[in-house]
Amino acid sequence: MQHADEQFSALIDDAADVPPERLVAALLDDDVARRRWTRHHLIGDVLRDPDAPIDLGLAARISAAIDVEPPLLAPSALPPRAVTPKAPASRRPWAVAAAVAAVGFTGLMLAARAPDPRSVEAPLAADQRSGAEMAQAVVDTPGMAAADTQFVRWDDTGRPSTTDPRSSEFHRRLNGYLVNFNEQRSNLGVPGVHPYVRIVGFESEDGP
Amino acid sequence: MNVRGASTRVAVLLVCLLPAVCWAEHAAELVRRAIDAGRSLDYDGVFVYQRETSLDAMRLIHRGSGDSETERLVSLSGPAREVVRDGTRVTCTFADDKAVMVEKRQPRDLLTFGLSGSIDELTAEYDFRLGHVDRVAGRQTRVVQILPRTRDRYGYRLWIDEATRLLLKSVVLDHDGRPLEQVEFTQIAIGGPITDAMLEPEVNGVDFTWYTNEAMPPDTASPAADDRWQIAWLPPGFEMHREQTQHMGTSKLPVRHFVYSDGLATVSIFIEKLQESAAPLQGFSSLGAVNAFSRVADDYQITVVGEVPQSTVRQIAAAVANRKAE
Repeated sequence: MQHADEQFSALIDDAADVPPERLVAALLDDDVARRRWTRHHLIGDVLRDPDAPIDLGLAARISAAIDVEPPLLAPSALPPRAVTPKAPASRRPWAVAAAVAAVGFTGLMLAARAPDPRSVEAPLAADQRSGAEMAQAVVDTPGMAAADTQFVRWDDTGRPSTTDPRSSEFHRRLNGYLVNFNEQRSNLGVPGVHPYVRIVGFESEDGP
Repeated sequence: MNVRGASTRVAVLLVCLLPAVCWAEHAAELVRRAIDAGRSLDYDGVFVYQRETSLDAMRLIHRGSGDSETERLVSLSGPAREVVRDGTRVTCTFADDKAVMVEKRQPRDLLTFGLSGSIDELTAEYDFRLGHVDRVAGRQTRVVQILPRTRDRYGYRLWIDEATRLLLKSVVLDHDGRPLEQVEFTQIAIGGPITDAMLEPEVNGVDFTWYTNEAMPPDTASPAADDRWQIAWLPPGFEMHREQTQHMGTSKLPVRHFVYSDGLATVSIFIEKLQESAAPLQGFSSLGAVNAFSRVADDYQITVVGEVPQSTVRQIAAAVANRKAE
């Protein structure tokens, strides 16, 4: 059995003596190894092409590796989404990693369906419960739960939908909400992620 | 226990607690300075943005000197997209969709810009910690960690440049401390001249579809403005910072927009009259650490968007009620 560092080197060189899937899993379980591996590739990519500040191959490889992690935010009802790896086909270990990524996260969803009349009322006027209790009561109604189960893409500006001709309108409306939220967000709170980064960084469904 | 012994214990306790309070204040002050540096400095840098299953490269060119703050954000990977913000408007160009979205920019409110709460208010909801020294983009940084005390909001880990106080790396953390998304500069030039040409968009918007938005005058009547809305529940510490009725380029009718913040996290609540020509939105959406939940109440579309967990936007959306009937 090789040492962890040797294993990762072997993985990169396509000369591992254990299945690549196992090595990728080990990498993802070890934060130190993962950071070391990321730095290794960043340095290597910059050395190979000093003029390119960012190596998109690196991005794809990291993305593919992250895909094998369990979803962070997706409701359980979300269907799996195929991930399009950007790495060259010749990078065989990462093709393997991308194949493992079939369980990848599908965010960016929003239900698009006719309203369920059971879900639309918040009976606040006659209700003596606290705001939190009432909010939770509405959340727990069958209609609210059902709303989680049907989804279309959120931030796909204007691209025709393959399933619902109305969804491009949904996307535009949601983008409008997002842009307005971002503008408020840029004035308030912790600096964190630049609010418009999320819009620019959004990868469209049919994109590369 | 005699009085002297009790006094000694109190003194020892104060000595033990004081550094933690001071460090929290120091950490919060660093964050305030980072916000100010991000607004006032000139810089041009390339960074990576990682969230969920993808990683993108972008360039941010920012000019804070001069009369007005201007910046240009450009995608370097994936579809060609740009966002240009000047003193009056935000222009988002999506070359892949041949669409341009123009929004009127909100004026900076100097009182609430950045961390809006006092240190006491902020530390009531978050634990500020001064972390280790690290290097980002070849520069020495100090790490500040901000952890929520409850599960209804997110935490942050920030890498702040020791020389200029500019934020060079940030990670949004879920309530278990796992990263949801992160931004990290890989190279950056701070203080160099930012010319007008550098801030000009490269994407040609000719033949694109343009969506524009203008804020409405305060007295403009609208279906949403006629009604009285109440938000029956918000997470502790959230207060309203803005309320406005606006036209959005993507909506035919005026939209009521409430903005709430706890000093760090921001939540927007959008309310608009349902349109016969448009099917209602209902359910979850997420984009990195931003979550949204839409529902329909009476004849209104309610959408909550915030940099808070899904369960929080959902509960807030459920707590929005129309008081017109009372």
